Amino acid sequence: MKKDNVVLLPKKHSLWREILKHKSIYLIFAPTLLFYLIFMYIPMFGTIIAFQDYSIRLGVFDSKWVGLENFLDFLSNPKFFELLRNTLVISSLSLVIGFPLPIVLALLLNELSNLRFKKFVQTVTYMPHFISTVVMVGILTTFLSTDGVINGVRAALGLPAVQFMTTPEYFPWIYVLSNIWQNIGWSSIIYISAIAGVDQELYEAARIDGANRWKQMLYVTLPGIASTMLVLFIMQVGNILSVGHEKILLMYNSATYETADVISTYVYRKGLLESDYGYSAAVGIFNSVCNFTMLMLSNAISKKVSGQGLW
Amino acid sequence: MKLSFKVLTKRVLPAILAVTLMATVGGCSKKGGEKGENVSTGTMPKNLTVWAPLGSLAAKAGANDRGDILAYKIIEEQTGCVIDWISPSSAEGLEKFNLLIAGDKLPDIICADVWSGRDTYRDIEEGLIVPISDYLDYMPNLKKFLEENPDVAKQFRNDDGSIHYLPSARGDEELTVFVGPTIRKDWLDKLGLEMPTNTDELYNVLKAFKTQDPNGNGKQDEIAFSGMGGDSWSYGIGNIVWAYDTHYSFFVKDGKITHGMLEEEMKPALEYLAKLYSEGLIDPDYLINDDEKYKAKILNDRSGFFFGIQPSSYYLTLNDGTKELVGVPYFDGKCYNEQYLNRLGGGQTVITGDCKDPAGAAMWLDYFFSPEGIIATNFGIEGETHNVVDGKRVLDHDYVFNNPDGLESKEVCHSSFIGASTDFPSVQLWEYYSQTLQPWGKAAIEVWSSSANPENALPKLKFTAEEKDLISDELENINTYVSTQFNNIIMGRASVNDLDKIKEELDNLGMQDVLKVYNDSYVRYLNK
Repeated sequence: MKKDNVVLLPKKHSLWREILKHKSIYLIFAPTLLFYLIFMYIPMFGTIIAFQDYSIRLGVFDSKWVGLENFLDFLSNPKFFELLRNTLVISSLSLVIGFPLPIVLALLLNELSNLRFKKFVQTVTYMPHFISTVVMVGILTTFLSTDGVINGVRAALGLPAVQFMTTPEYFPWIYVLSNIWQNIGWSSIIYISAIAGVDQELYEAARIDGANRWKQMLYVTLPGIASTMLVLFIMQVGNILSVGHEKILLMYNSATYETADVISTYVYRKGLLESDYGYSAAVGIFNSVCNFTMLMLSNAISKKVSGQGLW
Repeated sequence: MKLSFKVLTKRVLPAILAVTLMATVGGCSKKGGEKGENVSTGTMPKNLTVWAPLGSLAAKAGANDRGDILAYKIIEEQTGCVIDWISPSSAEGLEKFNLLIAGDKLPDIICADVWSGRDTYRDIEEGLIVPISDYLDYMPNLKKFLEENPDVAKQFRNDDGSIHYLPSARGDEELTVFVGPTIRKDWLDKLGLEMPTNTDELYNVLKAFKTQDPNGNGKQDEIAFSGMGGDSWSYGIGNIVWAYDTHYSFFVKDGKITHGMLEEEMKPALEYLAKLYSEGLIDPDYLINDDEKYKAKILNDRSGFFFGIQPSSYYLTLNDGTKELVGVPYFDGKCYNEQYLNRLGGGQTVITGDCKDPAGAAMWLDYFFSPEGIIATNFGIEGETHNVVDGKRVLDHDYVFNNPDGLESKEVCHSSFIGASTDFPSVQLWEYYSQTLQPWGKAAIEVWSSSANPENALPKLKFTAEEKDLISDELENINTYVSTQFNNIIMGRASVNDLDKIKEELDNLGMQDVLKVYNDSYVRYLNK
């Protein structure tokens, strides 16, 4: 009689078995999992201070509970809509302009045949990413000041000087465009690697069918990186209210408050004045809830429209 | 107060210990000392733990903690009280402070410039600090100082008379004056102009600076009137409005507190500034100038008139014999700079709720206000760091300016004298400070201090926690709105005729509520 070598395990052991089977992979994953657990999930319980009149001395367990007072304080501030509007304007501008450009750069780089030139362009475009925000804003201010380079060029062309940094209408553009300049190379890296992953045989097939380079890009490359684009797009939408405060704090001045003051800079100023941690936590939760809603929405829409989503 | 374990250990037990200690010491010789009434003198403690961040200049000079600074070494010797210093770097001071108070055991004394922004009544309730005023009987020197300087005492005290924290004090009026209008005297001389004494004369001087090439390089690159910011008491160009009897923030008018944007004097003031700006007499980049750019314009012979700080490196560099920067006397003495009224420095220090011997801690802190303490903190050791010449204390020139360890004079001062860093409760003396200034620096401060009449500037008001809660949002919105409109009018983007609309909008933002709170506090201030 043949011995039955198949061992039937009860279902509940299959995860453990799975882990044992691939233990080296799970071992590599373990520190990351631990990191997220300890530094991201457990601290989430700290958001409870948004519902308290938090005092560092008393700590979480002894501080007074105030329910939704911090949230109401924030939402009933007459400046709330202005802050929200400014945040959304800057975010949307970043999305609409800043999202496609790294893709365009990656596509263009892909078309280069001279390898040395390609590498040169890649290096030059991603180097600005490493400039610190303080230095970056220093450069911006110097270039854009009334007696700076840009106005110098304008003067040479007979044009009057423009006050870039003190005109509120220009602020979102300067902020977004300088961000793009700084990060376009770095962001394009992920697309370059996605493009490299497109099957070469598809290009062969397209060439045989008579497609020129432009048509190849349109019908082979773009669809090939579509899923990467989708993932990054949804993630960027999920950050729509998270316009960081550091760069804006360095760039804004009283002439540009009306377009430059975003939620995070307002909370930074208020927090500095009063060390009101409960209030800052409440605004943080508000941001996260809005961001999460946008994330869910865009994921749902994308699934409906293209059948693909983040999850 | 309910009798929880926390209250027991933090409040009741230390109180019992302190009373027992006092009774043991005082019982021998004192009479009439009822329990709880601190009339005995207590004793200087042998040991205290003090948390106090270390300033960057002292660190640069090689100090590892405050104990390496000369003044504290002298006091340790003279009092016999050995201090355990905990000195984080001042750059991470606030962070470390928050960690400290979230922890379990507090040091005896905390020195951190946070107390004026906190609700110290709440801190007392939560056991974080104990009020200094509870131990005033152990502090005869401080008491004397407050009695002899009622103006300063007013700023130390809360409206109910209590003192929750001790800052350093500016012993003389000149010490509050460290910023003021400055002009290139050599340019005035070159163009044959007199020092301006009113806004019309200033206009003519600025126009001459702009058009007559006083820096002599053939290019019209002079910036007649430079600055950093508009409505900023330090370097802001908006300070000119003071000459019109008004201010871009809150000030005193006819015995009440009001806001400049609500008053009619603001109209001609802003008209003047707008005129200057439109004729190119004001630096077009005044809002985006940062420290570096502002200084560079001065050092590059471009700025003719500006509000500058003293002491400063550019005064040093520029006053080299060919060029001359001098202080300009305030026009008609009109000055609304709140800082001129501020007799307090930094170094806000409290006795914590965990201190086992608060009376002793108070005694140690009091030493800094004693005659010996004041000498130690301002001049150091007689015969070594200073000498007595004709009855006056004179810093040893070589020690400060030709230091044997190769340190710069600033570093020497900050690692030796608290009168330099003003970051611990003590009394800063003009007698000391003036010696560290260059002659033109001293001259500038004397010009500003003797010509200014800041009696209508906003005094240091104190607010209750409820008041602060009520107006903090509104104040923030009002300040950003005023800042924007003020600069918009100067730059010509809005017109002076918009002032009525601005007044309306300020009311919408809650200005009347804010004024009420300010005036209530002002009444309390006057009655202190």
